[in-house]
Amino acid sequence: MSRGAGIVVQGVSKVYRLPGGKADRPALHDVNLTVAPGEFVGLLGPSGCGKTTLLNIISGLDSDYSGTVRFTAPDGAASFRPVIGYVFQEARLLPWLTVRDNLRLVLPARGKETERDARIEAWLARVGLEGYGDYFPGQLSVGMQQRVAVARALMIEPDVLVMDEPFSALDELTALKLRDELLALWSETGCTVLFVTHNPLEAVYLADRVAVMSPGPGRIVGELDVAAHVGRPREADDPAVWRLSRQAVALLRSTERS
Amino acid sequence: MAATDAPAAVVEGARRRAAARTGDAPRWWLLASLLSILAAWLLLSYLLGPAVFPGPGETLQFLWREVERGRLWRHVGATLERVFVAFAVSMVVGVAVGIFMGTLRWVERLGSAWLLTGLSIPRIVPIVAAYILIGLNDVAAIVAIVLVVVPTVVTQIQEGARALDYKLVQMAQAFRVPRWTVLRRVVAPQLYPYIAGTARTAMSLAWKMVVFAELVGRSSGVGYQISFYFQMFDMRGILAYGLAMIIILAAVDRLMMLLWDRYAFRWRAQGTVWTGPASVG
Repeated sequence: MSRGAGIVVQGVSKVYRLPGGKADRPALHDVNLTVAPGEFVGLLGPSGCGKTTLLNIISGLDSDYSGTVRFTAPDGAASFRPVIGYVFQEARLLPWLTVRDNLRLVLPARGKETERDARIEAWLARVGLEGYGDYFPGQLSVGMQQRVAVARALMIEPDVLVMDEPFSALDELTALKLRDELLALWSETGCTVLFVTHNPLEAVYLADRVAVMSPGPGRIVGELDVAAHVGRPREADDPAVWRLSRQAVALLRSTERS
Repeated sequence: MAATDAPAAVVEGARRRAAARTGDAPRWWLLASLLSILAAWLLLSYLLGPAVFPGPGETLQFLWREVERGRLWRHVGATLERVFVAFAVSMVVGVAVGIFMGTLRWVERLGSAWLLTGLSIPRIVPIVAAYILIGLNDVAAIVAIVLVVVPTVVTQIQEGARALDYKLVQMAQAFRVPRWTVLRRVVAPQLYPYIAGTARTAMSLAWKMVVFAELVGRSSGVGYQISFYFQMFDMRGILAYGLAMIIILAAVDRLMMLLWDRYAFRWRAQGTVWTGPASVG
């Protein structure tokens, strides 16, 4: 099921208005980014450069900005409203609902309930959490919680999956596992992925293309075409991955102002 | 790939903490505490003489006579009815106003003076005023009690609404969860601990105010009986009705706690993520 919508971000700027109207803080300045359907794009930037702001604008959580954000359907349809799956830095599960009910919450109430339940069980199995449906989030480790969050975002069959530093709170071993699992799920579902991170190696290892952002007010200062240099499946210790990640660091450094 | 990182130790630790909280030790202390009250009562009765200050035995005897005459249930029933109506109205109004005051800044600003007035006014004033303006009836009594209880409810719920975790709301919005479901499944559960804490306070406050209102201007209920026996200078009646109220209120309070615990324990005692506000409970 190759879905996946294209994303076109044109001249997007955003200013945070502080109460009192005096010291407005610019967050994004003239951001331009094009993502092809089914592409995996890494968005790399230092903390506070407006990466999360950009994700919120793209996913429709924030509508107070200037510029345009458009989506293109895989078949080229004009006005297209994609289904978007969001994975946050923290799992953001509701602690008073079981894992199963957390997933049930975001499934649109369409079709038979037995079908929806079967889908939930299938997705739990796909993220390696078979049999954990009746657990409460507080009973799971942080890594397992983030697995649930990934299942939640993919279960709704998104055209676009946006991820905001989803593995940065995990220990490196768990993060390594989850990265490979994510790549496997991505190649199965074919959805477009926009992956925000401040970790150059992670961005290069995962993405087809890495867009590098400057410190706030954020704008895109350069792009690395990873897919042209490294094939898939990738090895974390592939010299090409390391080389590109050093290039990404150089790009990041070049934007520093001090 | 199996998830091998099941935090059995975390669950076990939480269970032990929960056991320490509700375990056997406090139960013995509760018994000791009750016995010490009984002892003080006996001692006082012995020192003052049973004619002035009847002991537990005489009081229970009197209470039984009231039961036999059918008076106790009539008056306790009348009081209970007023308490529950006043409590229910106060909670509904207080929770609604509290949520608005905690989430909308202009409502908070507009309401702040009302709240201050409501919290600091002597509690007899609304009762007497309501009797004069509305008449000597149950409606007046309940209106007055609601006016006294609502500000207390509002302040506590307001605090809960201020502490709402908007990250969870944002998550629900990102997944296009319908608005009503967000309110019911995401927002309301965050307020439950505050509502449960407030309910106990509101119940005991409504209780005391009802007795007060009955004493001033009703011809039935526990407050009326206490004022009746006060005029007769019969200490047994005063103690008997006081005792009956204490027992019923304690039972209602336990029941409310039990219902809340049964709901909350499912995820809260084991939770390591969002353990609710620490100030209430």
